[in-house]
Amino acid sequence: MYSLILKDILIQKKMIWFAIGYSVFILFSFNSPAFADAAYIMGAMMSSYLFIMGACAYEGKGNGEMILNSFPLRRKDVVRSRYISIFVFMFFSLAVIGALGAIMKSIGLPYPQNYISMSDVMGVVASLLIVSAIYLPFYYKFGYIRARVFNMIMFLIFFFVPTYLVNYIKENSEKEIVIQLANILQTMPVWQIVFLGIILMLTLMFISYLISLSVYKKRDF
Amino acid sequence: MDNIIEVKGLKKKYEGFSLQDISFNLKKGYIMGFIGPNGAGKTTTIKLLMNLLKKDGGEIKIFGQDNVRYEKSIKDRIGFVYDNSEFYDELNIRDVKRFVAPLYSRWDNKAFEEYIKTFNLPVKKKVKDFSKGMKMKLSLALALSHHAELLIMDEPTSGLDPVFRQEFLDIIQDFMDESKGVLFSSHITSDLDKIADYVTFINNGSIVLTSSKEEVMEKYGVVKGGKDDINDDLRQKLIGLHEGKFGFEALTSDVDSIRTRYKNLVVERPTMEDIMLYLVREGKGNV
Repeated sequence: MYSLILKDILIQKKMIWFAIGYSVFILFSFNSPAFADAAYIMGAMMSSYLFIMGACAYEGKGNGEMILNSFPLRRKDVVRSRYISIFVFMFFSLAVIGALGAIMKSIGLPYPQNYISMSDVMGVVASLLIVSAIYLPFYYKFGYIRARVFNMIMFLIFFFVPTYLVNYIKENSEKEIVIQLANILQTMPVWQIVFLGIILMLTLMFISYLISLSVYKKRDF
Repeated sequence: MDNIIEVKGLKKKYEGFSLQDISFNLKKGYIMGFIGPNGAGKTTTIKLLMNLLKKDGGEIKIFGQDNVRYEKSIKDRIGFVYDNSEFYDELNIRDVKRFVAPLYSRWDNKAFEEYIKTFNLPVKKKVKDFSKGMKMKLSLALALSHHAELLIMDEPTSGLDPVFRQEFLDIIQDFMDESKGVLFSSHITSDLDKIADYVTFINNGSIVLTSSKEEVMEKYGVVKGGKDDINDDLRQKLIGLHEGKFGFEALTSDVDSIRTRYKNLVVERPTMEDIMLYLVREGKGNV
């Protein structure tokens, strides 16, 4: 399994430099007050997303999956390591942009305005895990090329649904359910919300993994 | 356990193509040529052996064990070479090794370095910039560097120049000993003439023949004669008959009877290509 995760990284050595460059670019360009809060999230999201897609695309190319599955590996190992590599890419992207932000701030550059915050990290973790949990079963069922359409749709949903949701909540702030939810969240200590979120995410990933595994086991190459 | 590969009644159905009742064995110590025209089912059979496709029926045993149940430990003992290896494109040899070595329990780094040196492969160049021959050499080096007992190769020599093809065949022969086996699919039958001990011939998803090369060569003969020599009795003994302006050529599996009864005909020892060509032309009905 270590070997498979290493391969996902080795094939994308160039991407590492791109991720660094891209993070600097985002920290500089998202400087207007409206966007400044989203800089860390946008940067880390985008670079993790590119890493994950890069790894999936590479395997889907030519007879990649045929060769991969000819090694002494169980399909379980292949699927599991992809799920783990998502965490690796995610933490790498967060670490890069977090460190760059800190360096830029400490040498006195005007941007970014803040250090990376816990809510930035949680935002990235939550959104990436949700996208990946939904995308990967499709990827394992249809392969990279055919799952690409889905991938575009997902990406769009991810840009528009949160905005829509926030607006919905704002517009319906009088509704019973919204008030109740807000009350519950307000009375809960932060650590409980974070903990609940983590449990939810991991459950989602685990269910997604089980679906991916069952479809991948049936795949013909 | 004498058989490295045992395939019994193997079936796989696709739309417009199906493998029907494939059965053959490969004994330890031998090289089997797996021949047939393009689209005959060679790659499908190999993919089934490697558990890359799910079979619809039948049984596959490798090293005496079910190939699905013991997939991982079986593949640890197999070296595979396919006709292209885009998979390694973005990596250089050093990175390929870093990825592949931990996958095999008996990876032999020294052997791998030796092969890379002998094959003259550049260590720092990305695989995508390799020539077809260099890519094949890399696949072969990987297949031979973990003490594999079985080599499974799908069209490894297609697209290679004659000099490297010969080199390739020599390496395969060096690899062999009485405990190992090689399954080698190809439509370039002259390669198999040189190294195969056994031949399995597949056409339209069915096995046409599977036996030792010597037996096949003795069983069949290429018959040549004048136009006037053909009669109904002879016609029945001929496979894939081709009649020209002045004479005819065909394959026969009745070599002795033709030699005794038709003394004016020439009966020559066939090549694997002759056998494949005539049998395919006949549509395998008259074998």
